[in-house]
Formats: sequence, C-alpha cells, structure tokens
Amino acid sequence: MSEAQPTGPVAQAVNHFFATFERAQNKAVVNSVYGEPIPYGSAIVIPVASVSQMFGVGLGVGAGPNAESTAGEGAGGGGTGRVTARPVAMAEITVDGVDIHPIIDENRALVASLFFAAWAVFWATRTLIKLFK
Amino acid sequence: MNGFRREIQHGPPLQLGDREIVTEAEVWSFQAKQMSLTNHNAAGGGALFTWAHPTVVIERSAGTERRTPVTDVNLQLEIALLIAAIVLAIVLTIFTTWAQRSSKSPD
Repeated sequence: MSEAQPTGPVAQAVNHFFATFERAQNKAVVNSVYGEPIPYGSAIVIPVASVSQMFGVGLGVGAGPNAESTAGEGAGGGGTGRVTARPVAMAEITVDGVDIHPIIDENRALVASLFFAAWAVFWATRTLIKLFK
Repeated sequence: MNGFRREIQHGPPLQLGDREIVTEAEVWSFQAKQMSLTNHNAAGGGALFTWAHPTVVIERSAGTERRTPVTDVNLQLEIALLIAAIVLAIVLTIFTTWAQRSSKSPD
C-alpha cells in the first residue's frame, strides 16, 4: 500500500462511491417508514411500513506495469441493491387521539407457523425415536 | 464509518389545530467499506444495510405529550415462534437425556 494520498480520477471515483454510502446511511428514512397523510372523512390516515435497504459496490482500476505505456490498463466495477417495504399498520388520527390499526400479513404468518410446525414435528419424532429405540 | 449504528429519527411535525403529531422511527444500519491504493492500481468496495421500523406516534397538545406505540404484529409473532422453537429444542433434549439416564440407572 502506498503512503501517498490518493489522487487522480481513480481515487476520486472510489471516494465518490464512499460518499454515496455516507449519504445513503445518513439520509432520513423516517419519511419512507411513514407515508403521506391521507384525509379520510374527519380523520387523517398515515400508512406505516417497515423498510429495509441494502446495497454493495466494488471498483478496481489497474494502470499496468509500465507507466509510459497504456498496455495492461483496465478498469471495472459493479454494484447491486435492494429495497423492501412491508406494511405494518395504519395510524388513524382523529379528534379523540391517535389509533394504530395493525396490518397482519396472513401469508407471512402462515409460512412462519408452518416452519414452526415442521420444526416441532421433527423434534417430537426425534424424541420418540431416542426414547423407544 | 464502518460498523453498526442505531439512531432514532423523527418525521416532520404535522399540525392539526392545536395538536402536533410527530412520527418516530428506529433505524439500524451496518456499513463496511474498504479501499486499497498502490502506485499503479486502485480497488475499493463496500456494503450497506439499513432497517428502519416505526416505534411511536407522538401527539403533543397544550403542554402534554402522548406516545402511541406502533406494534408490528407479524414481527412479534415471528419472534415468539423463534423463541418457542429454541425452547422446544432445549426442553426436548433435556427430557430425552433425563429419560435415557433414568432408564439406565440400576434402580
């Protein structure tokens, strides 16, 4: 590793990527968790969600062994990202106060319950086999 | 900065007459990045994960503050099932070991 300060377009590009990371992490995500208020009769409804995001980037640049020649030069990079949002509740704001109406994702609950049932059957079978063998 | 970070974020206040509604969310994030520079080569990369979930809706009026928690029913169910699955495995393992030891004892 060189002790010199990174200069040139390569270092600028890498630093730009890292600055993008910092911005993404510092960005206020509360606005994506709570949606825009929707008037509904005399009340106001705010949709509420759980939001997760992930992304990764990589970049590499090589100048080749001979500084006076362009032979061996190359650059490459790539990245990926994913953002998911899951509805959690509806916040209803009335003159009497704030009511939270939870949203139940039945498919998700069913899948989790089936996984637990399969796990319980596995352990019950394992226990019976160990007891009676 | 690399590593985990947790912060509480507040949304813009919503004014309704003499009442003020403020939303609050908890944000967990993990960041890892690395850069390598030599005389002729440079390489860098990183990853970022962020999870934001609602916590409470705050209602302020006439000097009073009321906090209404936002519950994620699905998340609570999944955590409960996960804990139950771990406890079930531990309990059945202890029971099996105890039963086998009891059956092998001379008494």
